[in-house]
Amino acid sequence: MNEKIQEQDLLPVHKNTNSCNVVNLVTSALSALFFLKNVSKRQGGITLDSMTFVLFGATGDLAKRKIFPALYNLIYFLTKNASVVFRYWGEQKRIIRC
Amino acid sequence: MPQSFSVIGVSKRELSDVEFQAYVENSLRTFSRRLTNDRSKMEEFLHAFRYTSLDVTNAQGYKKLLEMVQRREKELNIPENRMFYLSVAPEFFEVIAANIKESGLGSAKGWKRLIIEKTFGHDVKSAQDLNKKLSQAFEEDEIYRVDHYLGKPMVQNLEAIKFANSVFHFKQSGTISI
Repeated sequence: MNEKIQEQDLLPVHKNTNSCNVVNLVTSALSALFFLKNVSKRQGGITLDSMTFVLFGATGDLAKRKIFPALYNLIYFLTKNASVVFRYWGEQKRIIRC
Repeated sequence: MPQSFSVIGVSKRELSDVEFQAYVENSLRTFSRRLTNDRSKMEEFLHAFRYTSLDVTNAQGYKKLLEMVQRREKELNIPENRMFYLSVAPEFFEVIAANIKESGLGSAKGWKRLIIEKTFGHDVKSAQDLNKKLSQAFEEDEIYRVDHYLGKPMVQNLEAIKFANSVFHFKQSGTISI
């Protein structure tokens, strides 16, 4: 990855991981993309980068079933109760911890 | 909700912004496992969504898309960070990536990212071709290849593993290596 992410950035922002569910895998993948390069903590939550999300195939089945719900969950639930934590081991291995 | 978060839906169908927002709301109500009852939150979320119809093979059409992206960036004061999610048939990956570059959509000041879903070609050669073409429009570290179902059974089995192995009960956590 381009930027070094410090270990303290990767500690669970929300300590109560007992409420952690196995999240929708699309949510995990999207979260990884959103947070990959810009992990920032603010008042007990993690924040999203400002961005434009251009979705090709917006009326397709995957968008309807997975992507819109994933975005919604990402914004209203995961950013408050960060239950997905990304950990980088060297350049190669990525761990998503739930 | 991040203050400046803009979603532009692109597809062949003719839809107005309002129709698209209704479509998104319907999707959330049908498929999201969690929903807040807060009506204003739903509206706030839907308000970030805009729609433009586009024939992805028509290079001219991307100008309209670029204008819309730029207009929303201006309205919401968003830096030119653009994420392109290709939820389309694999045969369109190349043409869309090329058109993103040609149209100037990909020449923003902020970061850009391209997300594609499998399948990445139908054999080694076509996969290599695809990679080569994509790399003309995006750097390797800007391309994200997603396989939603990679490891899905394993994730679903975590519950069973936890249940069957009391050693895991002390902490409800699993580590998924991808």
